Amino acid sequence: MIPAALAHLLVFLTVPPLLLGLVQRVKAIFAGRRGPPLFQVYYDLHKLLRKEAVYSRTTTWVFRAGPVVSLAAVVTGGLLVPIAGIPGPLAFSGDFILLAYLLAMARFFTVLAAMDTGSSFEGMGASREVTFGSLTEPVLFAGLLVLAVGSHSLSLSYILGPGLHDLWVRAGPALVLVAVSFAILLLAENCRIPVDDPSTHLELTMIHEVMVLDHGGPDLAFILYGAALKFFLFAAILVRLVLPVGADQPLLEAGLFLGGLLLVSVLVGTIESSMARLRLMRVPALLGGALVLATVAIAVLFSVPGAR
Amino acid sequence: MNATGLVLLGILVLLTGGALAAGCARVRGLCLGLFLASSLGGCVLAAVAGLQVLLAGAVQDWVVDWNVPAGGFHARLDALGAWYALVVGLIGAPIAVYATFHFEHASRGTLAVLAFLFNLLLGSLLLLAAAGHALLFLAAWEVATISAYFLIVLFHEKEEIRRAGRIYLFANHTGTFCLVALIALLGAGAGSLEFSALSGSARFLPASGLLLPLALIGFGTKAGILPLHIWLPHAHPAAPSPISALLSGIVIKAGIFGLLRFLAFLPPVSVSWGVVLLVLGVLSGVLGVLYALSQHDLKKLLAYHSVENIGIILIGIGVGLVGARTGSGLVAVLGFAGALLHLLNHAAFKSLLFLGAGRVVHATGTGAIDHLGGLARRMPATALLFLVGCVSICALPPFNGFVSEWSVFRAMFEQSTRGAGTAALWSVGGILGLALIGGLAAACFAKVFGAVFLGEPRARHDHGEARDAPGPQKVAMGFLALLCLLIGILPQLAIRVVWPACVQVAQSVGAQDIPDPGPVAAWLGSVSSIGLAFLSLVLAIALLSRLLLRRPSVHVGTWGCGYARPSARMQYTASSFADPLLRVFRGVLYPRIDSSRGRGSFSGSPALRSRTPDAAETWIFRPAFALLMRACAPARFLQRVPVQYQVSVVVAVLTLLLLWKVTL
Repeated sequence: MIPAALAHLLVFLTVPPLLLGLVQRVKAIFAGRRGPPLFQVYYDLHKLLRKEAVYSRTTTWVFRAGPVVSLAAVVTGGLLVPIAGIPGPLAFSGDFILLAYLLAMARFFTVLAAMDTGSSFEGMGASREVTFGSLTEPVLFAGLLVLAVGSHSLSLSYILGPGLHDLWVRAGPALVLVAVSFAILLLAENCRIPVDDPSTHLELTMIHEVMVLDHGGPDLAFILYGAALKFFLFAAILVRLVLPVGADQPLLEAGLFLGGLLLVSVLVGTIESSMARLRLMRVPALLGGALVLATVAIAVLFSVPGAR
Repeated sequence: MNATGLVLLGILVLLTGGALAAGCARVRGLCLGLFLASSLGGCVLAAVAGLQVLLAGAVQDWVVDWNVPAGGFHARLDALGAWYALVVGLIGAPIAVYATFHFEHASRGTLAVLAFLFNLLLGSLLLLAAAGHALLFLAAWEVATISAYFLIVLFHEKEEIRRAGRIYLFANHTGTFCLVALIALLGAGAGSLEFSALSGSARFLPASGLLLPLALIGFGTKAGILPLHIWLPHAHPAAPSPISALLSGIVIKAGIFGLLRFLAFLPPVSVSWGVVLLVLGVLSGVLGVLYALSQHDLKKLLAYHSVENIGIILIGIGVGLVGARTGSGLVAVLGFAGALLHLLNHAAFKSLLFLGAGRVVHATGTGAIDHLGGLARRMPATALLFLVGCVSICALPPFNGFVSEWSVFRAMFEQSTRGAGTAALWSVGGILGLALIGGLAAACFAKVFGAVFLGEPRARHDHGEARDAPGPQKVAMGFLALLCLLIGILPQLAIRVVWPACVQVAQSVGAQDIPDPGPVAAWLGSVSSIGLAFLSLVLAIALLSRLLLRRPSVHVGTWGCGYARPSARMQYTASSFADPLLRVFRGVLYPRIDSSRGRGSFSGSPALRSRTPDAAETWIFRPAFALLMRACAPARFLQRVPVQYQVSVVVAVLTLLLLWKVTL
């Protein structure tokens, strides 16, 4: 039990920045560049942690609390998510509700920190962040609902655990829909194209990057690390959902999981290189589409005999 | 002394203290002291009595002769009443402390009226909690309604305040009218108005199909269920802030308490009524938070959030009823536990928010969100406490709002996972609705806190004068904030306190196989340990950040992407902040924008005004009242005739009624 929890923690705390490096590498290859090293994000974090901080005279303690609370919320959320079949160390019945609200807590404090600067740019980013954030909430719950109803369990670690294989047999089509809706959610929640552009903070794309414009030094390192962790969490759920292997072969499971993470990063990089960002007022339609997919999955689950 | 006696003693303390304080309003210090001592004493006695019943489980009757036709002074503090008494006590006490220092400089007349009515309101609500007889319940209900009215119009010199008071009185008396009809019908069936007689199961009830709608309108108007909520956004901003806190925290909860109390007396409700409550709850929640998002006035915004939270409570009651009728005791008790806990939680954080808003309005002289900003540096304690309220109302862990919403969510997930048929599907809708409510509430409070407390002051008059709350008010708000945090990190204890009340409600609507609190408390224990883990992580990372920043930080102006002269008026306003979401939901809200743009080269000052009229008010109540006025127009001549004729009409009607009674 304890070794498993330690392995969970170790993977969760160390692997995530690598995924961001992978995405950057894929984008560089598409653009015909060599790109930064795969471990660039670790180097960035190391550099930022050693730097001093610059604070605006307008800001208060809320600005400094923002990155701290957000990172703490994402790390706590990670303790509820199973990684490669290892149950989350703090899993319990009803834990995914807590996970959703912990992520909301992280968003709330990032937004407040942005508004604390008094900058119109950051206010704009904050406004867009809460708009899309409040629309992703029902999508997340609709997808989780399908999984919960299908596997008769309210714990994420069980849902994505041994029962998942059987659920694919019973209600495969519903799970395909949920997987697509979660993939959209992954892009939206992690500020990826087509919702947001992580590489600029130009006015047209002002969402997440512009919110953290005034942060520097260790604060920015916390934000960057938190973003990597959040990306990893969504990727871990998606990979596990799409590649449910029996629990009796831990090595195969771990290998498949890592391969899956690699695949997700490559896919995200490919999408970012081959698509344009959507117009801002189109994003609610995309999220609405994800909600429709998940709702159809619910309908499938409730209407097909034997699916539940 | 037993619990029922204790609560009656509390009422006695409140009433005598209030009357004495009103009597010696000439001596300001004595009046305030008497008021504070008596209201605190009454609240403490009520809270102790409530806890005694909930923890020890001893329910006692207290019967006194009361010479009223069909009446009886029968007090009985059972588990449900004890929970409401506990809420009144816990929340009433800090509001009383705040009010004492809020009205420090008020005129003597105001002081006397306030001291008496404040205590009268608290006392009548406690009597409501302890009533064991329908007529006593109705009397307490009416005293509470009237005393709240006079508190709302405490500063009646302004026409808009009088108008808000009228709307409150109209709405609430329409509700009381329905309650009188409900109680009359119930009494006609049972032959007595004792609660114990009403709850007998096998009996004939006249017009049994009408009973639940009557209860819903009667109690729903007080609680503020959509579309009966229209008095809230008028009355809350009009009332002085401690009174708004009292209204939103405790008074509207009387509607929920009454509904739960009378569910036991109604004929067994079908599953579909549970679904109706669930749908009404989702509608109140979603529309309440959307209207809140579109408001420009701080207190009006908070009033709409009360509609939202009453919606969440109603979702809990609805899913509890569905669970009870479909034979799942766990769903029933989880739903009711969510509803009852949210009753306390909302009372705690909403009164905290109203008290904080009161400080903002007091310090800056305005409640217009778009004119505020940067108050966190001028009133740091109020800002911190207000932030606790914001985080709690958004149901973010580890604060109390999350605990009750978790319970409601958990009930609906349980229902949709294990339940059968359409009831499970309705729960699915409830889950999606509650998720949307959660997301929108977070957006709305990011707007409120960000625009009011963060950044720079937006209006031309800067708030350099704004001073933080005086010590006792900080203590009052701090107590409420602490309550929010404590329930959030120790939910397993809170659930054990509320459990007897949940079981009572669940049993009264016919739930079977009610589980013991063990497993639920165990789940909440996990919530508790994760909350503590989160808090310690926050501390650890903050410490790490402090250690890493060895060199002193540099302080400069906010980076404006190269723009060299940013001003406070360039900040994003609260209205622009909410605009994208209002656009997404424009099909529901119909926001209006009136703009006047000058013509020609030397145009005057252009103006832009955005507002979102309440659909229930414009589409339901205005046309309905216009119709009523037209229908009553023929009888208007009576108002113009001399008074003798008017009296003779009254006498004639009374004589006719007597004749009718005699001939029957």
